[in-house]
Amino acid sequence: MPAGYNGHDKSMAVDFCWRGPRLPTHKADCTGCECAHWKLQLDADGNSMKSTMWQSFPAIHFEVELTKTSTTVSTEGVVDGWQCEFQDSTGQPDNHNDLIHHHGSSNCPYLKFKSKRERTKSPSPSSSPSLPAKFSLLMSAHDTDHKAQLDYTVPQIPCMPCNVSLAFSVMTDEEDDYIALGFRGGVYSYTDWKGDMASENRTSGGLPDYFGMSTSSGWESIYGPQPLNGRIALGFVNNGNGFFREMEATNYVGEPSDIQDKELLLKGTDVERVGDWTIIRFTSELFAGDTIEDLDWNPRDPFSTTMSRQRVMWANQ
Amino acid sequence: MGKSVNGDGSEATVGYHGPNRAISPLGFPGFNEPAHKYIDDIVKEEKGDAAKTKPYLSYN
Repeated sequence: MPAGYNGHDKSMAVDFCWRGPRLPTHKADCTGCECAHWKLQLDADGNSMKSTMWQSFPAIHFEVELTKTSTTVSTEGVVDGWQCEFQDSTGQPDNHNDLIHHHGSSNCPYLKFKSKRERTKSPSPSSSPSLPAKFSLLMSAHDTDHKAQLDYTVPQIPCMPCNVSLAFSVMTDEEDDYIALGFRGGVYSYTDWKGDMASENRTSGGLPDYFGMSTSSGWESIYGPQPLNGRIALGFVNNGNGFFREMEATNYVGEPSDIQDKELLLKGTDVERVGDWTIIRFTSELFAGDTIEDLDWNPRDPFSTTMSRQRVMWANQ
Repeated sequence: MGKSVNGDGSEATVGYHGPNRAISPLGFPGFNEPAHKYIDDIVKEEKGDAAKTKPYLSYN
């Protein structure tokens, strides 16, 4: 709440722009709102508001529509004696004192889920401690309409690399809806130029397509080789036939294209329609880890294993 | 091994979609969660139900 704000501003929109130099993950050469832009837009009658963040424009980081369902609370009622201080910070929120509220508990969803995981971590259906190691996870776990699920099986340790079998499945409305799975490299969001990787980041210009659709080759200087980065597996069924396409996104935002004039990396491809599920299967050489713990996407400490750091995108239409 | 598609399916538009598009590191707390069953077990159950069974489709 800006100092001196009395709740009577008649503006219909508020814009927040990124301050300071771009993060390594922001679009190349951006400044201010080009790097990150959060807009709160009231509708004409003031009963709903759209909250949109672009990072970096034109990639939408999140978009939420909020509707007023009860009477307006006064500014004083919202603040309720809590004069929260906002402090600039970047990086993973694990150690950020600014996310801890005055009563000692955090309202940060990330920290809440992390805390819950630390209390309740148990083997996922998956995590078989023996080889071949099989893992299974719901992607976007709260999206019960699509139940997007990723299963992967690693045959050996070390797997640096080895042939990993993957099955990606989504419940779709129509048989010919496509489902797609993209490999985007490792997690690096909100990390600043500071730290061990600063020199490499500055030399390479960072990871300027991190929040866009294309995938940079800059990952090798950070996490080592992962040829699958940037590849998209897409499948659908049409007139009773299954189709598989190996694709890539070459633009920051735009239509992906089929792989051409490059080696196809997805082998043994298969598309199946069972009930409302469309399932695509393939095998690919993957640098999955040196130890069996590295293979687990769901370790007690987030992002501490090779597989837990993999950024994976899914889509269907 | 993947090939270019043919037939009507090649007209499928692939692009930048909003509502059903999601990305996260696999280990992001609260976003990805353990699945209840392997997809292979779900398939076995679906195929065991004759009323729901549809032809097996494969493309290699």
